[in-house]
Amino acid sequence: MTAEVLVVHCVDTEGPLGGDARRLPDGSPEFFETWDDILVSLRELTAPDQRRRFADSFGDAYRFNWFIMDFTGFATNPKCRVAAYHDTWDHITRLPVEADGLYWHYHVPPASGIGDQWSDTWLSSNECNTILARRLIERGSFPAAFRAGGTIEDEAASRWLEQTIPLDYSNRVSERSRPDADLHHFDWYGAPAVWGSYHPALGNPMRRGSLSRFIYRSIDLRSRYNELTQEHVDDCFREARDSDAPRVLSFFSHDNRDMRPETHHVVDLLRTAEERASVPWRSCTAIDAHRRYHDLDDEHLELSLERDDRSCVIRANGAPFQRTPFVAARLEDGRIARLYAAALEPSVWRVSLGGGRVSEIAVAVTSSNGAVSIATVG
Amino acid sequence: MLRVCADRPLLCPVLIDELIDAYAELDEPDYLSNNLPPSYPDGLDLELMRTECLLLAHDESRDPYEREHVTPFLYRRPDRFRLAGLICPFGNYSHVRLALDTPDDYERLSALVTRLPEAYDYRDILTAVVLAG
Repeated sequence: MTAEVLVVHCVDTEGPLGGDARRLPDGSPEFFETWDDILVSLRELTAPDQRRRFADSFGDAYRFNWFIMDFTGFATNPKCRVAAYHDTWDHITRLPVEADGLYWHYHVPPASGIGDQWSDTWLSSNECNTILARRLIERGSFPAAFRAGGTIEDEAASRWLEQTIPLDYSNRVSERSRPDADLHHFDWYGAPAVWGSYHPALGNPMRRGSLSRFIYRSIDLRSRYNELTQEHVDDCFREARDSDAPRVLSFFSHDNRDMRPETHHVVDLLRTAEERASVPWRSCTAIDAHRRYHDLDDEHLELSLERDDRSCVIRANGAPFQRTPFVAARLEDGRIARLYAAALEPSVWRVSLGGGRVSEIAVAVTSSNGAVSIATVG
Repeated sequence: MLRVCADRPLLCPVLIDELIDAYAELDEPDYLSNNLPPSYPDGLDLELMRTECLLLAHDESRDPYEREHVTPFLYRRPDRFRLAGLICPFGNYSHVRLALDTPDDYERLSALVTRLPEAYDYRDILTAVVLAG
């Protein structure tokens, strides 16, 4: 292990935000209200020459991590978001993002269905299952990493994530976290303030425990609530130097705010800290940082599917992170839904189809190193 | 002590194992249920409690509702007993009724069982519910 700082720039990618969204004191929009406006900012940041200007200590181009949201499952839409599956995904993947991370961001719809009134419990909606089933079936992708919308993560969310996604970059704890924080200041008070990851506890995801997923700390780059400071960055670099081991420095932006000034700013912070501590920094995807931090390989699991009218049997050549694979199905009535696989023996599962009505099945598993394996059968 | 009510014919041994595993991980609370809050289908709920707590309920409770339903004396007193819940890892399916109390329940469960494999667990049940729409 050698000292280096693994930089993970997360972007909560939600698309345009208008309607009754907060405005600046002069009445002008605080957020980008159209994709055209967002894409002006993102095209500049993702252009190869711009990425090279932000190059890390090894001369490698700057990378972003797009945590992509679908605004679906709501009954109303007061902020005039694009309420459609894959809209955000399709806009982002048309940019030059091949070397970036593509993951998942989710705001839980409340029981009332009111748009942008974020729920404080994962139990208020099962839309999470539909979104990922559709991403798997219709876009052939499954996320290895997640960021909680509003960084709101209750025990129900933790139980679901533990069965689905190994890397969780939602820990927002900082010196500004407070025990009396309300829903909209959900700030992970009491969670480990580490430059890296921890395993959460059953019953409380903000406590260390014996669950399997890795929760990484990722703090506001520049928001109303908090801001990444030179002191934060210096502290991380110093810790890497003193321990002679990698540390993960993660922070988050939003696509519907102008990310250009804050991205320039953070690169300045990183270069200043590098000079002070004599420790290099490496621009990473969430998965790349995870593998380097824990010294993991990049092996993928092999998946195979056997299907008949009654069932689909799933085999893997090793144990995945999930206790049971994520299974998505296109049904003959047009629905796309998540189905559930029962374990038959180690690394073998069965999805019971009860006589058909399923036209396509896609299955995803993830290794603990973040490698995703996908298989499909008609 | 594990409590399973007799109106739950789709009792799932895998869920019992998961509850017992969770009991140790949660530092052996006085009362643990997978219905606190509800998230599994109604009819797959289980309760695990310390025998001494149940005996205490028997000795102290005078409320007819608590005496009939056995465990409310415990879960209604979070200040006195250490309670814990185990939430369904696949989402909220508490709106699905799998308990057997009425002739309608019998008809519905009979139809559901024909779509399950011979050796099924609760994930097969969830799949059958999803496929049925």
